[in-house]
This record gives sequence, C-alpha cells and structure tokens, in this order.
Amino acid sequence: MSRLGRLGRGGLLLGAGLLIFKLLLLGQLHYYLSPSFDGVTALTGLVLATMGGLELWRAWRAVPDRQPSHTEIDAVVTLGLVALPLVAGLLLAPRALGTDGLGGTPVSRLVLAFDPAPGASSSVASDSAGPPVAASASGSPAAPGPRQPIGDVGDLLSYLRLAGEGGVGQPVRARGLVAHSDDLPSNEFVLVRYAIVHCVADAQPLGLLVVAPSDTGGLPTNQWVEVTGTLASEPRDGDHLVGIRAAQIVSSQEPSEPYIPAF
Amino acid sequence: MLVGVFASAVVQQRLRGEVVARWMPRHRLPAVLLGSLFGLVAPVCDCGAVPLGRRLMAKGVPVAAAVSFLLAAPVLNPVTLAATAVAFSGNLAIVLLRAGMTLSVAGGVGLLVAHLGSVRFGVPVLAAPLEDADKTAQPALTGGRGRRVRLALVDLVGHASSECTDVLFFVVLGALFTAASQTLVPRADIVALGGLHAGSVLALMPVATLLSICSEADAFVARAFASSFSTGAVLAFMTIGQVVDLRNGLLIWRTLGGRLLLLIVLVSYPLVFVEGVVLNRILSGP
Repeated sequence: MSRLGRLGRGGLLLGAGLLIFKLLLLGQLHYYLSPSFDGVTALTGLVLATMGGLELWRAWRAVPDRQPSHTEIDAVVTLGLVALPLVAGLLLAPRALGTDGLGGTPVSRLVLAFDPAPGASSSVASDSAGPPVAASASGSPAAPGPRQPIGDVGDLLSYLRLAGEGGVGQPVRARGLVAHSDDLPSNEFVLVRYAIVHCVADAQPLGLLVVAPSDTGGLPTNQWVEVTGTLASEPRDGDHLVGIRAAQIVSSQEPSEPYIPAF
Repeated sequence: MLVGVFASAVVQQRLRGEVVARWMPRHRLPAVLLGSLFGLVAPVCDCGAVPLGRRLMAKGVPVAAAVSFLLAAPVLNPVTLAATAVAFSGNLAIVLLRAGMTLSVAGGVGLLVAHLGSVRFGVPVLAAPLEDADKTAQPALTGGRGRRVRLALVDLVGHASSECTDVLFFVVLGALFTAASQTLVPRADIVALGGLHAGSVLALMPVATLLSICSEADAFVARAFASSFSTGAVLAFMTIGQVVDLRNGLLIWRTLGGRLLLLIVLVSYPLVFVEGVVLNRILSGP
C-alpha cells in the first residue's frame, strides 16, 4: 500500500477509536450497545486509536510495509467504504431504534402476556421476543408490592417475574414509544421498548398495552411518552395481556438508556 | 474481531510453517477434527475466526482443517457455549445439541473438501509478502533487547492494522446488507410457520442468515423464538446463523473463494434442515 494509503488506514483506525470515545463521553454509545459493554468498548477504542497512531507514525517515518499490497483502486474502495460509517458517526447525531425498526411486525402481536398456567414457559402473546415474564396463574392472590416504586419498563419486568398476575393493581410508571394499531380501540396503544443483549442488531421489541381514559389518536406513532397508572391484566382472545390502566400520559424525552437489558 | 486480528498477527509473526507441518495430523479425519475443535481454545467470534483461519492456511494448515475451524470456532468456543447456557437457563441439552450440530456441519464440509481436494475450489492464497512470512516474519532485529521487543510489537500492530482494515471492509458491507434485510423483511410472516415440524425449521434458517447476529448474542434471540418455534427450528437457527450469514458470508467468500462458499451453503443448509426436522420428530415422540 502506498504511503498515502497507509496514512489513510492509520487515520481510519485512529478515527474509529476517537468515535468510540466521543460516543462514550457524550453518553451516546447506549444508542448502539448495551451499557454492560462500556468497559470492553472503551478498551476497543483505546486499541484502535493506538493501532491508528502507530500506523500513522510508521507511514510518516516511511517504515517499510510488509503487508500484501493492494492496488490503488482496491485501497480507495476499502478505505472509502470503511470511512462511510465513521464519517456518519462523527457528523450525525445518533438516535435510538424507533418503531420503524419493527420489521413489519404488527404491534398488537408484541404485547406481553401473563403465563396461562404456573410453570408454563410461554411469555408473550405471539412471536415477540421480550424477556420472559414468569407469571403465576390467572386469578392468583395479590402479590406483595415491589421493594421500590416501578419507575420504568425494566423495573416492571423484574417485578412481573416475581409477582406475575398477582401484581395487578400496583402503581406503575413506564416510558416507551407509542405504536398505534388498527386492531385496537382508539383509547389504546402499545407502549414499545426494545430489549438488547449486545447491541441494536439483536434488539427484540416488546410491548405493553396501554388503556387510556380517552382517545389517544393525538399521540403520534414513534413518540416517547411516560405513562403513569396501574398494572392491569387485559383479557384478549384467550390471553391475559400485560397492560397499564393509564391515569396520565405525557410526552417525554428519549431516555439516556433507551433499551432494556434482555436478561 | 480485534482478538481475531491480533491472533492472526501473532500467528503471522511467531508461527513457523515447519511447526504446523510437524504438529498437523496427516490423515483427513484427525486434521478436520483438530480444526473443528481448535475453537475451544480460541475464543473468537465469527468475524474474528476468518482472519485467524486464513492466516493459519497461509502457514500451511490444510484448507479442509481451516474451513472446519472457520465454521466451528464461532460456536465451539467457551464464550458462545456459556452464553447459550445462560440464555437457555442452563439447559445442557441445548448447549450440547448446538455444539453437535455445528460440529457435524464443520466436520462434514471439512471432510468433503479433503476428499474432493482443495485445489479444485481455487482457494485464494494470501499475497506474496505474507506467504513469505517465515522469511520476513522477524523484523530486522538488531540492537538491545528493549529495541527488539519494541520493533516486534510495532510490527505486530502493523500486521493487525492491515488485517483489521481488510476485515472491516467486509464487516461494513455485510452490516449494510444486514441492516437493510432487518428493516425491510417482515419477520411476522415467517413466524406464522412456527408450529410446523419441517416448516418451522425451514422458516427460521433464512431468518438466521439474514439477521447475521454475532455468535455470542444469537442464543438470546433464539431463546425468544423458543415460545413460538419448535426446538429443532431454534437449534437450526443457532447453527446455520453462524455458518451461512450475510455479514460473514462476504468474509468467507473473500477468504475461501466462491466455489467453496457455494459448497458450504449446499452442504450446510440441507444438513441442518434434516437435523432440525429429525430432532423435532424425536422430541415429539411416536
């Protein structure tokens, strides 16, 4: 590779490292990756930046390159393509995955359901892929309240794993994206959140049925909202869907950690 | 990926061809088995396995063994196996079945390549400066020990940087295809086939290919499918997703060539499908 190509390669690797640090420092890395990977991602940024710095130094000092030589066109195409996401990452403000990332899945099929019987493994109404909601049987006695107030979807899922349908009636606050469906009455919508293990590539949507006291058509799809109300069990087509009887729905900012951990 | 490119750089700098020749079994089956099981001690994901695999080939590891390593390593490594166990709540049967199905594909393709002869597949070899690695492996090591170590480290990072840029090209290209398919292909239609013995397996396999999820995370996605798909389908999803996927397919095409990639697809898809269906039959009883 020519000296210019090696400078380009070094610049790309250094830029990739700097991009990671920019995203980490601005708290934007969580739009792409689970916070549990912050440490290893920072290390990756450090290694990439070091590699890039060394490559630039080697090219600058004209240290002989024993790597296989690419043709100039090959090098330009390679560096150009790799530079695309780097430039986009440096210039564009990232945002969390929205309802357009559902891949055509009807939102009514994303709503979590209580398990129909103790010990059953089914956790969701259909094909959605949220974290398991281990729940007790329908009609089970009221479960003790949560140790701390349910402040978001993650807290709610943790509580449901312990309390199941016995937790119905507990006060709940949850943030998520509004997703309307033709299958639902006008005072209902699905509150969508994504659960991730590693990154947005493995994001799995899950939904909570929100039942509002009045029409919700004024809330645009893909709008972040905060719903305050009580946990409810909504019987639909033989399933008991996890719902929130809303007392208040207000628009909200995108949370700093928009995804919830899948496990 | 970084672990893979640094492992590749270490192989390039430190491993000599004579050592490979001395330790590599001469018979097909042990060579392929060794290649398949090497992943157990090389914790690399799918994009890390490719640079390491092609460097091992350049050092004289037979193509059949290297192919087996490429196909098996993303799954048969401690991190992926542990992630699978966690995702399926410690269900050891799922972990063993996943490992077994992956091993069958890697071993099957490897043995077929060994039988047919790798020459006919026209596997591209690494460019001349790397083939001459044994002559050039050591940098001009003169001066004191500190200077030698420093030069060797700079050389190691140089190899890794070159490899990294090469691999990144295909990772970015594959990520573009994957992002497009994840956004545009409606998964809900495919999920409707979930309850069928054969249909569920057939439905989930292309989903795995399109999603191209990293081997260390795919078990968690597969776990989510477990409520609506058969066990055979979920295992087929986890097996084929690491053998034939959009992102890694481009890397394998670049490393092994189009003919060998075609062979991998033609062998692995039917094999995994049959294994998934048979498993469903066994699990559902007579």
